[in-house]
Amino acid sequence: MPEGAGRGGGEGVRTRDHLANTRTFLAWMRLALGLVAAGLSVDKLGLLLPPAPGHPADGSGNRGAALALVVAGGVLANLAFARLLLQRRVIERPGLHSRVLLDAALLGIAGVAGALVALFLPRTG
Amino acid sequence: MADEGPTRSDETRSREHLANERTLLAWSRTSITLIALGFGVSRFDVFLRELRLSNGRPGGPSAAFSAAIGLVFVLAGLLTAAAGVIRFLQGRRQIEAARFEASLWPYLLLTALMCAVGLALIVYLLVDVARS
Repeated sequence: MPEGAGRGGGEGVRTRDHLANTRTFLAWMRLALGLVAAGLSVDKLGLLLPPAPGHPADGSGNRGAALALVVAGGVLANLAFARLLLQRRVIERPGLHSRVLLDAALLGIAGVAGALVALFLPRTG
Repeated sequence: MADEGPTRSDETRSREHLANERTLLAWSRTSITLIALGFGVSRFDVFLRELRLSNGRPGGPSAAFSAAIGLVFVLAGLLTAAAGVIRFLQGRRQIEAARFEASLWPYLLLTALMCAVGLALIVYLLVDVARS
């Protein structure tokens, strides 16, 4: 443990901070996997459910949304890794600094992806 | 009695071990999510094929490609579980030694696995649309 590392409270607090950082990273990864699963569902359910009037019956309209959701999942996973690295440095430094902007970016991607799923819903009857 | 107060170990060691255990469970949940998703990917195409055949329509392309993609997901899930267990055991030793090291390799591994399964799925979706 480097001298002066952590936000005070000693090695125990620093250890728990690192473990909490890991769990947060894993939670973001599961959200990214959720986006990937949503992408697959949009693609496959588009083939099963009857299309709404005015939309193509071959499910081709859903493929773009499905690809976008999978890509969003990949981007989210990489940003979560960047967030983990930044937070590791914060934990090792004295004092606590929150990284609101990066977390907001991560949430923004998840929100846009959620809106994509909402857009997909009117395509099926 | 002041000199018999709780030491660092007594005060925080158990909480560190419990935090380490919660982290192992988080690794396990991530691993199970990957495995379940792989199972879904590999089986959904079989289901769609059967559905088409039962409706008297051609079954379409075989489900071998989606089975391979599902296998990639399941392997990624197993590697994630292994990384979680190894990290848990390392963490236990480091907590006992009061010298916790936040190693980078498990996170690099999981991020690389996520990229791999994401790319595999993108290829799958693009190939699937080319065949249908």
